[in-house]
Amino acid sequence: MNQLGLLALGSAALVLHVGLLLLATPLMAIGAEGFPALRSPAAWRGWLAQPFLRLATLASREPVRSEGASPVPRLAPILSLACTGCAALLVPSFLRVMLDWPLADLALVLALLGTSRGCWLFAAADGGSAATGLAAIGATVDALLALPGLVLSASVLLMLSGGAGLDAMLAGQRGLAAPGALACVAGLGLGALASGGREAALSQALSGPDLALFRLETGLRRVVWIDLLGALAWPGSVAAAPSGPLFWLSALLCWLLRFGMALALFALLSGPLGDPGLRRRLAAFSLFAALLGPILLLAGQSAE
Amino acid sequence: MNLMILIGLVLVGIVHALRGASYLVLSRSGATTKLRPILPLCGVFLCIAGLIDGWSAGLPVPVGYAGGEGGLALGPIGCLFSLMLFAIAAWSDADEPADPTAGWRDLRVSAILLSLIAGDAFLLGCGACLAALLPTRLLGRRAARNGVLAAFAIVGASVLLCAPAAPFGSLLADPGFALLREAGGSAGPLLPLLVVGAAAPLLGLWPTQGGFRHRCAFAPPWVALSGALLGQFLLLRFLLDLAGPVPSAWWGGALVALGLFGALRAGVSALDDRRAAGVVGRVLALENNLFVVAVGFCLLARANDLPVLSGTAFDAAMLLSPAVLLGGLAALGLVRAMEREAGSGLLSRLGGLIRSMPFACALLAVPFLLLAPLPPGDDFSALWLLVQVVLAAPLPAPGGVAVVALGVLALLFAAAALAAASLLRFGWIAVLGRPRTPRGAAATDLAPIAARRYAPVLFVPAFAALLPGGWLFMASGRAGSDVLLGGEGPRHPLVALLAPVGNGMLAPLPIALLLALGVALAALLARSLNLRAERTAPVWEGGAAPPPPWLPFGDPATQIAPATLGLALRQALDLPAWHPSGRLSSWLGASQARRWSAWSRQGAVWLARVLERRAPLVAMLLFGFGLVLAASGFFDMRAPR
Repeated sequence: MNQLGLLALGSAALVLHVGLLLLATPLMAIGAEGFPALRSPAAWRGWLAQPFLRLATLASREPVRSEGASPVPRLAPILSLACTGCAALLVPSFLRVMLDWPLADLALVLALLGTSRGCWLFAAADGGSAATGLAAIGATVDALLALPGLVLSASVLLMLSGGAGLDAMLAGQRGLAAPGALACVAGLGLGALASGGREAALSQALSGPDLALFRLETGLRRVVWIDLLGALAWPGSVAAAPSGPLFWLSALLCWLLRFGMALALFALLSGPLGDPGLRRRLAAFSLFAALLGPILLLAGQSAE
Repeated sequence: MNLMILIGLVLVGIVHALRGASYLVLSRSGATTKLRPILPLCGVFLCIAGLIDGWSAGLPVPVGYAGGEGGLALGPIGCLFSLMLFAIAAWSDADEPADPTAGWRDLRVSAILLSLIAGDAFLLGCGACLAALLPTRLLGRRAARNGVLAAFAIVGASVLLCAPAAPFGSLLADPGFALLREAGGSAGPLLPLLVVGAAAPLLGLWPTQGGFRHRCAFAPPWVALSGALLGQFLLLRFLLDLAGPVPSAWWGGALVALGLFGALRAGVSALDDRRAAGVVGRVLALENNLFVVAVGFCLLARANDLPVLSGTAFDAAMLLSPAVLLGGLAALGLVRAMEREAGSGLLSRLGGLIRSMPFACALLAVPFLLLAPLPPGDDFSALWLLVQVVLAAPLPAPGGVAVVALGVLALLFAAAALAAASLLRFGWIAVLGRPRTPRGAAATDLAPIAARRYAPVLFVPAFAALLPGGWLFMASGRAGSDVLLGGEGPRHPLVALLAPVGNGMLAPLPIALLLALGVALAALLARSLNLRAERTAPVWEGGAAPPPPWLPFGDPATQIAPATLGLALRQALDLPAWHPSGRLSSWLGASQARRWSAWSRQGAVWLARVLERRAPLVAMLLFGFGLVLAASGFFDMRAPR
């Protein structure tokens, strides 16, 4: 395929990817809060439309801000959404030929997600009240506790693929299908769950459009994690450039399956994740999985 | 042309020294004050001319040691560091005439310049020793001790380098760099030990991080940053340039271990530091330790004959250098200005400065973004390159080496996360929230004209961050030809960094543009959502009463304090205190634990006392011992010529 064809293909893939993100983000932001009794098609339609309507309602409310607040709470939603949006553009949903694909890098994606989270922590701390400030402190402690599991899992995955680029990690598929690698992907996911959470406490000082942006960013961050973990755990589910339309369709179905499962998981976990004890146990499990990964890999290679 | 540039630099150095002496001896005169803004700028322009003009094979000028090949020489690495040195001097000059330490600063700039443009080990040692000893007058006994130890270590390292090139009794017969490079690689393990000993107090390596933090917190910013510049230069010059083409792999491994340990220790300490400038000092120490890790990788790769990896590690060091030296200078200067305005350097007295000093806080965000390893900053790029070096290293079959590489990778990520968390904590406590003191609430902001002072200092690291290929063309392409001795990294394009192996690429400028586009779109979205007028309301305190009149800035209990994060972390980890005595007593029993604790305390006190009172004696003993070993050929492992 010539350069022009690749450019057109990359642009089309990027547009499709952005479209999927726009659809998935409100669902993950609001829809994951719980499944209602979905006994009829009308209930399903209502559940699917509900996130968009609730976000629109939220955005149309009057914004209330603290007296004497600095510009940080106004800037934080914008910066945070921008960072998460960039990360979302780099992580493929079902196609690996996006225009910005050469920039995709695991370390970069993790750093962008961390920066985005940092923006919300700044906004929470600027309120000056005990509740939001302590929520920011608690979120940082959660992140620091999840740090060993996260960095170890990411390191093992990088060592296995031999590069930080997502292209190398997905295209090569060197060893990523092994149980050890899957354990590390699980460690990464558990670490992400353990370092997230506290959304309700962090968003206490937000209202109206700010809260809508917060919800959007939260949903987008979850979608990024789902895409990233899904692609790492099952690289074959993401279509490569020369694949035919049938493979594109099957990759899209795979993405829908992944997304549906993750949505159900978040709906189940949205309540328990508010418990700090569970988050700390998840951090411990993340470290355990990250340690298990190399052990399984070494055992497998020794057996060979 | 090169000769003219070198002569110009020598003249600038001499005038600097004379001006410094006139400040100290003759008090200030109008003539020297008039020269103030011109001198460092002359140096900057000369260095830029040198970097652009390039050189063929150095330019030895026989004005130093008579009869040898040494003297002064304009080398690429020296030119690059001279540029940053003059940038630091130009920034610090703006403090005059209020700065009573201007004389010491000028003298130190001259001394460091002498070591940067030295062409032989004799002048290098002289300049570095003078530079290490000069600011000790400003900082008290502890710094004096560190300065004396560093000076002895520099002399020892210089002599050790020369020892293999000449028989005992004529150690300094010909200390020219050309001969030393040819005869290098024979100084044994004592040389890196001495070099690290010399660089440790300057860079804040373990166990001297406290001293570095003390300099950052209490001395003028130029003291810590010019010292760090000298320390980085000494590491590159001694270990990568003069120690020969094939160093021992143990040197590199030991440096990597020391750097990682120091980086983690500095990061953990920064999370609990109680002073504003102390937090910045700890983060700078962390970055300096990452620089040591990069040098260690460079040595390891060179020892294993991997020139591309060696070049990549050198690129990482060259990206870290401007971020630490110039970004750190701006950060430290701004934090010190905030401390002056708020009337205290304690974090517990700072708070809400974004309301009273919005311009200073906005300016501070730039160096903090450069120092925190966040994209698209230099530190993130440097860390990315270091990760690529580990990933590209040819590891043997699964086993210990792979596990060690995995550990190194994880520790690099952890150090980066700790740096980001420390700066986040600083922002929470000092910048955001409510003011904690009346003086903090009434602090005067920097005048926007102050941006003129900070913009040139921040330009170099920002340029290196956005166009790393362009910066590395100057830094590694030219300086690397001086230091890497034939090794070369990947040729990076102007806007991107390439992984040494594979197709990996990091492009900070496109990422920055993507982020800017994202910010613009998000701002547009936020604006379109903000259709209704905004309403302000008092901060909700959970139903508690409003602050009483005697606490006009709010109840301190409702604000984030400097110790809050540390306490929460300790509580989450179920640690009763940082001191391990609690754990010790649960393992050994109370009486045994008390006994061990008393012994260890007595031992530490004795050691501290010996080091405090007998530091020069200990240093001289070590120095003499090393000299005897070196001269006796004990460490001479090269083949006989």
